[in-house]
Amino acid sequence: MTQLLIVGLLVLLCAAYWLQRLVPAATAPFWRGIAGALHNTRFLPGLRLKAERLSSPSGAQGCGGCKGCDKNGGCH
Amino acid sequence: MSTQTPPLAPSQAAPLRVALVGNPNCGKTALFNQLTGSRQKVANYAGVTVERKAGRLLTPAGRKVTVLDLPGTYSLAATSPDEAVTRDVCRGVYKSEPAPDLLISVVAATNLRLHLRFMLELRQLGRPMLVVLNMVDAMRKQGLDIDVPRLQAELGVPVVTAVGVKRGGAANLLAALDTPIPPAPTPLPAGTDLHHEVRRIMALCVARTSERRQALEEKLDRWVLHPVWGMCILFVLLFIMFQAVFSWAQPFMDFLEEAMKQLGDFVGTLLPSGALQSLIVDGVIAGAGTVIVFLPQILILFLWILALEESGYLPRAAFMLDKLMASAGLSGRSFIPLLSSFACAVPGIMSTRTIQNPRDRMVTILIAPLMTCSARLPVYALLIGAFIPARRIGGIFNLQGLVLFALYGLAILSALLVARVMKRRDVEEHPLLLELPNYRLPGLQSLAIELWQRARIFLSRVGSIIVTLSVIMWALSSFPAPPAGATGPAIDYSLAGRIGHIMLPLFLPLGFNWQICVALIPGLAAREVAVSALATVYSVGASEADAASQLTPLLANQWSLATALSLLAWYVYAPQCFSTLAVIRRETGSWRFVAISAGYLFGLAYGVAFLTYHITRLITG
Amino acid sequence: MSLRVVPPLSLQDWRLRFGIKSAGPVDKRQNAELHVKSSQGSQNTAWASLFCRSTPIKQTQNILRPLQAEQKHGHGHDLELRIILNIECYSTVQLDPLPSRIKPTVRLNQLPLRSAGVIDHIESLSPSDTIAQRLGELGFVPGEPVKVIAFGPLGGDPMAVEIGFTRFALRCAEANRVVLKDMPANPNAACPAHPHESSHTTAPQA
Repeated sequence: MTQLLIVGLLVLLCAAYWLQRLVPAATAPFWRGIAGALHNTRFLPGLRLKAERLSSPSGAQGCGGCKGCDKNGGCH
Repeated sequence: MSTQTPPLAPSQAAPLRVALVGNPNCGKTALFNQLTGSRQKVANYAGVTVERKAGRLLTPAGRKVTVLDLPGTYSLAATSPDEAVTRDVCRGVYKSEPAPDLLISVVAATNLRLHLRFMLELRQLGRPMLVVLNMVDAMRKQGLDIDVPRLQAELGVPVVTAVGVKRGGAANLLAALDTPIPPAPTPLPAGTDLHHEVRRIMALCVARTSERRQALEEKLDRWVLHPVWGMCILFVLLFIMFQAVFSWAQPFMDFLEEAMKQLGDFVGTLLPSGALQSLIVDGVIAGAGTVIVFLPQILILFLWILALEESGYLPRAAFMLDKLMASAGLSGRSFIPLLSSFACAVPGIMSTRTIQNPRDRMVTILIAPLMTCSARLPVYALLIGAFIPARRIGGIFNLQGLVLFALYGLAILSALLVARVMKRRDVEEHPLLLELPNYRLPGLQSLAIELWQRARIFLSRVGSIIVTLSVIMWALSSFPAPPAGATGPAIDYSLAGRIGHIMLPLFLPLGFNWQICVALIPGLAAREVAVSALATVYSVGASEADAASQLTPLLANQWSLATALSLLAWYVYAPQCFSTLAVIRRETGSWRFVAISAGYLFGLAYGVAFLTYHITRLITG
Repeated sequence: MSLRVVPPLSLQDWRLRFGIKSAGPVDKRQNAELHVKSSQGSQNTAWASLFCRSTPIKQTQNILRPLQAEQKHGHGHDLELRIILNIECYSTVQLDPLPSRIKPTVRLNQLPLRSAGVIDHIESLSPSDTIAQRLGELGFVPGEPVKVIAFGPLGGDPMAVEIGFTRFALRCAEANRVVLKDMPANPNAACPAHPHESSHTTAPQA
């Protein structure tokens, strides 16, 4: 049972990762929630900044889900 | 350009904003690395710096400076998008980029005649500027000496010397940045012949201390640019490159494969059998492991491309192949973006910004995905390894290497044909006008840094994209579990199995089975994932713990040769990469081009795979 | 696309034959501007239509007639026939009735391998010729010595030239814009002539 739970959680995490990559707009409410919860608190300033950034997805970042390409001219 | 990163945030004491401007091949990028310490591409061919690059530095006296590295250009009369950026930033009219406080004009001392002209053109803008006389060490080797104080007096702007490629070579520049900003020079009267002015200044300031020598370029170019020997050299270089990808990498790959197998076995004994063990072993290790194995091949491919790039050979190859490109209606300039596309189509498409002619640029963008990018290598390597015997042909050639070479050749040939078809109505003149830079020994350190970065990018992809997709694939192929008393393999009842069976009618004419259909879907995110997806699908299907390392013999048993060749042909063409389509959208600014490229690539892939499958079946019976 | 005159030119009836080497078949009527000038400044311009491959352009006769008269009076001139299609392409033809008296302009693409020349000027093909402008910015300016380093495989296009310490790859159409100064002596006396060199650049001077 515990095994199934862990497996389910891992699979969900991976699915969320891909949802974030492909449709950042769909995960925006989640990040907005995090940002709201962390607002005016001193916990996890890094996470708060990230949540604030991701809560309003603006345009395409990088080149369509490829994050490495601007750094060094290559994503593969 | 749409790819603006926001300007650097102003710090408490507003930092000095300077911009590096100069001709291509003036050593600007190396100098930028010296100044800011940020590692980026140091290449030798004209127009590598197409992205906006900014960095910060602290001068010895503690002054904060932000440095902008502008794309190299020969003149402020821009003929390509990246030159237009330089022009607009220097004039201070670029949107979202305030005019720099100080222009640093980088001038290669070895090529003063050309570079001083552009420097004088910049000077005409009447902005505060500073001249960096770069590569003074190479100039002395050429037997020239420059009277720097005299030059400074003639130009009316401060001049400092630098050696961009040597540690501490930018010390003079750093010291100069601590002094107050020099006053803006008074422009020469309008209509002054800048070339004339350059000649006048050079006659006054440059002295020859010994005989002129440029022996290396002369000797090498005699062979490298020779109509016959040059072609042979080019062909041999490319051929060795593909042979090396297969033969040199083999021991490392065997080692990695064995290590992955051991890891799978070890984790298998560590965890109690059940869903979690299956996820880790069949999903994560089988998925990521099959892709990690290809790291040595990818690094060797990059090693070659980087070494060719840094040595200054690439523009020469563009020269040799210009006629071939012209027959496809393109110019040799398109060669460099296309060669970069062998590593990845994304930077290749981005580097098309150096092509002046808009139509040439569009066609180059459209055919860039046909170049066999490194992500296709794992797929090719897996299938070739499984179906092509590792025989020696004529004693020296490896048959597998030959097939790989043929696949690359097929892609290039198709690209030329496609370009030809697209350009059939085009009768404009296509300029080449390419600078052939001096030869340089590729720096081992910079090669190592570049390779390490490639390895890091590859591994981080394995860690993020491939592992997560493998987990999702595993879940899709494991759930829902087969009903009690089911007879067939479990995967037939799973979601993945169902999706595969739905797609099957479309791909059956190509000889694909439903496992391949399933693997095609995650392959859209990254081509190499198809390999790990196959591993997951087969290992779950076969319910064998260490199936990851046995994918090769498994495929050899389960597929016919026709299916394998058909899949190879499919992968030569298929528009299987979201990143490429996204970057096409960004660079062309139109969905139409995305639709055109996806459409024609899909059509080609389907058609050629269909033909390959049926012809192979006819031959093999 | 480039136009190339196919020798031999039949000068008796002033009919020129044009071989059209085009990127695709010339199936449509193309208007061509024929522009003829002699070194003494007589000029004539006319429009002609090219129909398809190798169609003789009859109109050429009318353009050349006044110049022909000049020729008959014994001035051996340098005649230049330039054909500008409505698209940007062109060719220069040396009409050569009295070879011994002709002093043809040598262009960069006519130089033999490993020989040098000095730039006289850059010829713009149109008022907004960006290629000619770029050539100037790359240092191809009057008075600058240039040296041919290599010719590309298959037909000698493109070519590599050295100017100062810089080497450039140019297509022949680009190099054709670079007009060289007359050399006092045979420039390639010391080096072997390049195989794809035609005879007229090394024509002896009277």
